[in-house]
Amino acid sequence: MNAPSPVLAVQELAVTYHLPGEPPVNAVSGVSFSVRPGEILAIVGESGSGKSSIVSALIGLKAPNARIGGRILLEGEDIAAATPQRLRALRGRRIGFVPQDAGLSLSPLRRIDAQIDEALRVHGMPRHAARARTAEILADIGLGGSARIARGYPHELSGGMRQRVLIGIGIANDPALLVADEPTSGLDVTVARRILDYLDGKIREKGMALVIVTHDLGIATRRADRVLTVQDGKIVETAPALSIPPPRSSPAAPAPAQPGEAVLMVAHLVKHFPGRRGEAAHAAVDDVSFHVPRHGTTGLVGESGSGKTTIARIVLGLETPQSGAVHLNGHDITHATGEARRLLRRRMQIVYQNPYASLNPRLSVEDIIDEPMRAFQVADPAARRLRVRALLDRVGLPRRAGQQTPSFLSGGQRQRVAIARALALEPELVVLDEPTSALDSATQGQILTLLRDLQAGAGTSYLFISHDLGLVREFSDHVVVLRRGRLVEQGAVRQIFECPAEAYTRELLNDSSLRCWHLSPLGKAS
Amino acid sequence: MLRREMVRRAGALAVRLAQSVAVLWAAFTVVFLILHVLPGDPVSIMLSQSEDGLSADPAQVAALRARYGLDRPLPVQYGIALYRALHLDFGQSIQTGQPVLATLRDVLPGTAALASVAFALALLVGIALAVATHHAPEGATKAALAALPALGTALPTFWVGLLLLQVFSFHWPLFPAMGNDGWRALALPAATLAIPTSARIAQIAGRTLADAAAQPFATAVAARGVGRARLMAVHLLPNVAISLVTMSGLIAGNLLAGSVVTETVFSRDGIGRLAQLAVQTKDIPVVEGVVLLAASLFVAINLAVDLLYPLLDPRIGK
Repeated sequence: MNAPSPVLAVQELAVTYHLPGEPPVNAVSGVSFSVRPGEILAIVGESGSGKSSIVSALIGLKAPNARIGGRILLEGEDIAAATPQRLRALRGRRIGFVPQDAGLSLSPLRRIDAQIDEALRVHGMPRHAARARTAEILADIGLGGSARIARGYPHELSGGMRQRVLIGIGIANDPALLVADEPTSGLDVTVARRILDYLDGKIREKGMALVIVTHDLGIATRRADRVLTVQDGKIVETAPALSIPPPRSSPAAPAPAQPGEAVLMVAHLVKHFPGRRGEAAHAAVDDVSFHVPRHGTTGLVGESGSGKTTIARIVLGLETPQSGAVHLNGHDITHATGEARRLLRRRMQIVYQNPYASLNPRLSVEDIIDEPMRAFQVADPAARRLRVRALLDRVGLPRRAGQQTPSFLSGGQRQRVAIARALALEPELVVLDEPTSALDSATQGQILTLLRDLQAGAGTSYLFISHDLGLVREFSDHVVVLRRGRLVEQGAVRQIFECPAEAYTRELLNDSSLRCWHLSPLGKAS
Repeated sequence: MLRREMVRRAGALAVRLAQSVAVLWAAFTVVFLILHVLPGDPVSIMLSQSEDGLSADPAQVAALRARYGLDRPLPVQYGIALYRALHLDFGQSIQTGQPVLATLRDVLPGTAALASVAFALALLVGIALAVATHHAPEGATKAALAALPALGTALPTFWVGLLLLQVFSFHWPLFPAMGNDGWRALALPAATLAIPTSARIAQIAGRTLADAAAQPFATAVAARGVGRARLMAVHLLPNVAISLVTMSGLIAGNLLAGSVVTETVFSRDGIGRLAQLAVQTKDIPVVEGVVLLAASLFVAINLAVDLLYPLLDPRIGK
């Protein structure tokens, strides 16, 4: 292969952290790879795999206590050995950077255009040229034409807009190398796809090299030319993207639910929230009906703002709908109050999205799991204690974890505690509100397997809320697609995923790694 | 829409003003009650300081008490005092017989000069210290710099004042030990007052800097090729300004409280010394005047801070 010389050649990169009084920690060792102009390389790994250390080394911003070994050749120049002055001159000019966390990565007190302008002027562009180029960049990222946005502050922009601005800044000086660190984290699927499409186009157009760091194997296989898998600071696999099997490729076939037997029936739910002063009321949920089969799972899918969470809150009795009804086992519970409502909590539980926020940090794990049983005086303390231990076993946590506070546990372990707490009262229905979105992909798989096993064992029904279609397809029997509070379509999982009736569903599916795999097998833009 | 917005803002301002008036009233009332509950009678104190203090004539005492209205029931005294205060009449000093308002007006410029010079000095030193600590390489230097603010707040003001006097006035006679004349007389008191204030500012600024620098935007800005100096000046220090403005009420309080000790140590005329003397002699009208002045200052600063916020931080207001 007669390839052009690489933009970036990393040779035997090692990153070591030195802490006073402790042995040095090797975060990265022996990492070598190269990227050619117009090529996209994905670096995939879980949190703690050394991805971030590689990123810091590539953009020339290592931590003060980090030592870098090996060579990082950018257009032939070793930036691992460059002086701080030289690095500063390269950053932003030859090496562009698109950070994760679009919400926090723009300087909060500076106007948007000033931040783009700064990226140009610090590298010596004269004032008037920088002004013209800023306008050009704003137009290019789709934010031109509105002086209000250009002169606005970061908090006035949506997440997608902020990420466009960050990309605009990253490529402002036409760098040879662009490093994108989880560029779509925290964005809606459709927004994320547009962002990735835009990046893709820019790379091909300008002949830049792109290193994209992600924990999402779907993005990596779909977008990159090659995928580098990192684990414990070492490369475990380098492969052309096409040769990697698509993620989550085992569409489990859950036992179909008995028709007509529903634990939860939701009928014609309507919920308006009052608009702000003078504005019209905002319909969070508008005439939505669906059901959750007994021993089965209904997936609620939609982008943020589609009404998923409001529906879950209505089901749990945390919000009252303006009209419509919620039936649990055939009984109308829409307007249950007082003691009746309290008793319902025993039959419906929830697992929240963020296990870092949903567990009381001052209680021990055993107390956390015991709390719902204590509230309902399920048994005497000794019996409850035995039950807590049994629950710990069931969710796969060591018994000694019971004595600890949540701060000693990893994210996955915390979510196991939250699941044990939800199951403590043996509820008929558990609402799973994005239960894996705060976890990395390997842990996600473990938690889903656990939830499926628990369902097979106890026969619990799940209302599963997610914006990740891959997960929904794998995990649900019945799928409900929502958009802006309205029901788009619903049906059995195979029907929705294999022949969706609605255009919107097809658009959503196009974002899913699963569907995209079949429709356009890594179709690289020509 | 614009009109409604203006009405909303005017309403908010009216509420804030009403709150300010309530704070002033509460301060006035609390001081009035405390001074009357405390043991000791201003007239006896005054007479005991005159040459034949021990043999105060009961008739004379009664006459003086009547003159200052001290023989009336407490609620009546309170009512009269409040009525007068509302008309900006704070009565006369029991000690000197001068109107309180005139007394305050006489000493205010001295304290204002002291406090503003001390504040400017403290701002400079405090922010410089915070920035230096932030940039210092990890290790002994950084640890030492980081310990300075705690040391600065821990040092008693009177002791710092006496130390400065000892060194810069008695040992090397560079500055006068006391008095009100010229900037040379201001130097040592201002330095004394600036030390604890700068320590407080360094603490606030240091914490804000560390928080801001740990946010992703600091990395993103550095990745654009922005250097350390510009990152500090353009992106990090504006955040510091916001938190300092938030704390400006506290800082003003520090300065005022510090002026009591500083002015006493250096025998300077000012609000602080006036307050100290008035409390010592239980000169109720003067104490009331000083407290109301301090409370008005607080209220004015906090009101200004609220109005200033939207200008400093685009995320607030609008």
